[in-house]
Amino acid sequence: MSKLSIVISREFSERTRKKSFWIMTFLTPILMLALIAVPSLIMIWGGGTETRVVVVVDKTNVIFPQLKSDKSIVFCDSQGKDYPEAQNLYPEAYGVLVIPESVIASNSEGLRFYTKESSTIDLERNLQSSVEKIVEQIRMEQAGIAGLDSIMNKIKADLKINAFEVKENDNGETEEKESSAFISLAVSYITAFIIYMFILLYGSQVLQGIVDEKQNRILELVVSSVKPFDLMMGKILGIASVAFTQLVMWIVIFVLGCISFGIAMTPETLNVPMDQETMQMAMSQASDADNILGSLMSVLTDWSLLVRVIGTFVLMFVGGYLLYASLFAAIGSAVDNIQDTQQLQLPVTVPLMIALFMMMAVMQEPNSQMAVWGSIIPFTSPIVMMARISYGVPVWQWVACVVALYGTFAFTTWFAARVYRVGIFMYGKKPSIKDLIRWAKYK
Amino acid sequence: MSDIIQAEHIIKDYTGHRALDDVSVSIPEGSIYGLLGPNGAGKTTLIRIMNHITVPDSGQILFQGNRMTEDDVYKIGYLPEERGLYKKMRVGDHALYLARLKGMTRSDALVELKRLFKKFDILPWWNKKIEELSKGMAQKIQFIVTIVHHPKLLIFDEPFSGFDPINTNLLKSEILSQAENGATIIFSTHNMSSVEEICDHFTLINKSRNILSGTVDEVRASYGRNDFSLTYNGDSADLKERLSEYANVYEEKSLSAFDSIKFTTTCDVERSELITKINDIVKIEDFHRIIPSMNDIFINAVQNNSAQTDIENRGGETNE
Repeated sequence: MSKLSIVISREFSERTRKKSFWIMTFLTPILMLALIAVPSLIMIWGGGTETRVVVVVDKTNVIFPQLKSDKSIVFCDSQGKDYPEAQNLYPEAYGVLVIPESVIASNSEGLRFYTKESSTIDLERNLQSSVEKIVEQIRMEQAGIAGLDSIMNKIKADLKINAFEVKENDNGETEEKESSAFISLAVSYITAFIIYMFILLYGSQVLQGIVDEKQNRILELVVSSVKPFDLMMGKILGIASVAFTQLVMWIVIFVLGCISFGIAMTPETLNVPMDQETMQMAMSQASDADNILGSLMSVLTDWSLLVRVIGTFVLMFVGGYLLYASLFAAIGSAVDNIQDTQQLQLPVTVPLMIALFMMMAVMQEPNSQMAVWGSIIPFTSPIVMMARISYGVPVWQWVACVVALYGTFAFTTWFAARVYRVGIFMYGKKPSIKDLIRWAKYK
Repeated sequence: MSDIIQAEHIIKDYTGHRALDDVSVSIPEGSIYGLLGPNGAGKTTLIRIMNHITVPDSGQILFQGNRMTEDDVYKIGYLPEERGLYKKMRVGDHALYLARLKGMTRSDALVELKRLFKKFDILPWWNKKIEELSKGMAQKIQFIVTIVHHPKLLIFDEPFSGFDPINTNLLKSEILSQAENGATIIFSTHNMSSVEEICDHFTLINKSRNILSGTVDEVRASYGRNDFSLTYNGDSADLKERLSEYANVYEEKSLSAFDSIKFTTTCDVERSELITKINDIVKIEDFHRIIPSMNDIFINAVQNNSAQTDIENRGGETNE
């Protein structure tokens, strides 16, 4: 076994043996799933449990009969009484709604709603829209146009948009392919963010690991039998293998979680009583979901796109991590303790932050100048390229990106190795960037 | 006796400071070699170069007569002055890791480590974490991993710093038993008493230069000026008058029962002659030649050398 692989296997086994690794691995996807699932569960079970009684003072005498009570609001007649007196009619009433006589003729005078405590915005909106619907109906009838109902229904538009990407194939024929902005956006966002997160999370573990080794004075004992370069690369690659393991496990857990969550969320299993309206809403949501699922399937069965996205992701993930990890390693070797790293870390973390901001903009305009350059310049390219890839990237830009990234990675590794070799024996001085560059020039 | 490792004309510069200036050292096989010098003299740099950790700017290291290669590192066991261990690792895993880095196979390392752990009576710690160990326990582990691969050359940089007397003795006897088994040992230290006790050869490094080399016995004998110590009963005034012909008295002490003086002879005079000259004036209780301790030699050599380099430096400045 080569020394490099001995170092890598130590890094891997020591890190994966820790409890915190397993807790992180299992807890993070569960927390993320919970973040998605909990709001929708609360929507379904949490809302509308309280039934409120509203006393209606209807001066028009035509609106109240048409008001329909449901599980959240029960309407009661004021039995001819006006506002302050109507309050005492039902002691359990939540409030009194006053509908002035003029509402049918004009919008000048509004509804008035009196409550003992401040009312909720949902309730107010609910009352408003219920009365508005009835008033509109009455006004339409007064207009006296025959068959207006059916005319209105015809006028009402509910269209869906299906996007097709048109491409010319090798034979000069055009091909149409169903595409979906939503899927592209999701793929861009998720993959770019995963790369950002892993670079930051595991890059700083490289930094921490090297600072620890230096602080505990382990290095001198080890360096007599291993070349500093092997030791540094062993640490970087060892941690990379931990990161990769964690990523794979997250994907597995996430997919399993999504599947089981999907099963749990079907109406039958939820056993929630549904009236017609919510049923309709659910239906339209379901058809939206079908749409997304359809385009997801079209992405998943589109092998060339799938290969492109996954292939680029692996290349960007590995290249980006190695690029940043080697810089973190150089910093870690130069300082005595973790507190001193902050200043030196800045030039490394700032490009990463810029890349994240660029990603947001790039998802709106995937072929802008900024997007093109951001995806070629190596310090931002791992993240920006992922944001662009599902929209389609010209081959030359893709090649330029990969070549630049791996070329720069080779350079930063060389630089880091030279700094590391000197830095690990430097104690007691807080080095500047200038010092690091000088160390790299040593013979 | 051939040399196991030789440093030839080593020069190493750090920014604005020359750590080693044309240093040559030959370590005879089987010797216990002291590498002495004040703090910051360049001992650790020389040791790092011998260990292939740093590369000299010029000069070379020969290992058993040939230019040192990567694989020669496996024949060296090195215990650095600044030594730590991974706190979170288990003792056994850690020892195994370091042994494998020294080129041992996993199974060989396991067998040998278990044997040594048993010998040092620390087998029960195998599954403990390093952070649970006391400093003395950790030192034992470090010692074991230094010798586990049976190196021909053992290098110890300030091995006794931070040790209590019991552990110092333990370590000392272990090092000596390694020497008896045929290993060559290099010691870097500024603890002179341990040099007199253990080392047979030494080199003194001061201000990046090798200022004195040789066997301990030879140097001590040659370094002794003609200093004598005399303890006696009798009239000290008469004695001094008699001695003034041959020697300068530089120290006098009056004790309750005896008096004692120390003096340096100024001319070539045999010891027996001296004794006859003073024997009739005072009653001699004790008379011996003073052999300088390594400590005296060390301080003397360093001071002389420092004064000399100061003069050289000043001379250089005025010439410019």
